[in-house]
Amino acid sequence: MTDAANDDRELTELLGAHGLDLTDPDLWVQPPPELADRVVGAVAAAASDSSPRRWYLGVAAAAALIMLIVGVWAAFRSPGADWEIALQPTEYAPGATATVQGWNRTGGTRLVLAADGLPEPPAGFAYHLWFTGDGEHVSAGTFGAADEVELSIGVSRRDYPLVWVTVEPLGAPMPGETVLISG
Amino acid sequence: MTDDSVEARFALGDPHAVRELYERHSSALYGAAMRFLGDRTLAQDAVQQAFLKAWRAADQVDTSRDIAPWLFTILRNVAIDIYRGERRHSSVELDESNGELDVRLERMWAVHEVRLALANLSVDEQRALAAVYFEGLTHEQAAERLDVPLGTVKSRITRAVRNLRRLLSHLQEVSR
Repeated sequence: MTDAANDDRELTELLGAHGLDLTDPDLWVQPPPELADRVVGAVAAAASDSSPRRWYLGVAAAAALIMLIVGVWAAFRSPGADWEIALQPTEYAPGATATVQGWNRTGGTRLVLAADGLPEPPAGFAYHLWFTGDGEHVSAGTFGAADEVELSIGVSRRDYPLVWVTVEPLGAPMPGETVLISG
Repeated sequence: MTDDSVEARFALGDPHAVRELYERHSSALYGAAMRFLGDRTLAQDAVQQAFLKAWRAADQVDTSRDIAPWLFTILRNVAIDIYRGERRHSSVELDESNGELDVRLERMWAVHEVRLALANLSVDEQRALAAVYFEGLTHEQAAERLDVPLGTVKSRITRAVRNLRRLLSHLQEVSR
């Protein structure tokens, strides 16, 4: 018996002992493509409810300026705001804090981001506020190191529960890996 | 030195790592879920729930070890819960008292291991095997489908079978 025939025989016996053979459809069936987005979306939704300990440490071109902040749902409302997220600092910017307040409007949400201790972004870069839901990212705009900035987004946080900040090259269309603030 | 592996980033809650981990392990987990549950919708639910549970427990991951067995264990438990919850709708009742459930779980594990081994083959080897074994093509038909000489198909299959036998040698230790 040739080596190839021997390999084939042994593999057949090996699989057969477990009720399998290479023609078994369960060995080849693939999950539907949309399942990936469903899984990522489910995790993103869970991340919005996670404790401050669960944050992502991104890798950035300017690591010293990275601030990763986890947003936790605030049990209170600031006067006039429909919701508010408190953002916690990370080891990259331990002295920084921020909050994002939202006012639900027809067609979107008015936002006010108030940051304390956020350094100036590197030249050619800007901080970028993102909302994510079901794996889809929507930009709320860019900002510098201002203490308070007003932004807006054309979606509801109910549909895009994960709120996070990256530092991006100016004009970046999609978020990179540098997550600064996540809620 | 930081650990930039997908497992390490997943353990830190990196949402991007979730997608990467899914791309690496979803086929094996889905095949295993299909083996146990026998239903596409239930299998998809099982995989989704398993990744969500894994993410919530990600801080328990030992990044120095292969994450596949840990993910499978989570899937296994999710699948059992789904099966028991759907039992009254199932076309096949498993007699848990006489070991049928254990046999089904063992087969589920075997499918998972074979799927992982298949994923470790080269793309050419996987395509050759799939054409012949899954699609049922003859070697000549597979050569035409893959647009390669007949000898190439045969050598790829020979190589794939040899590699699978090597990668799955641990199945022999637990075969019944």
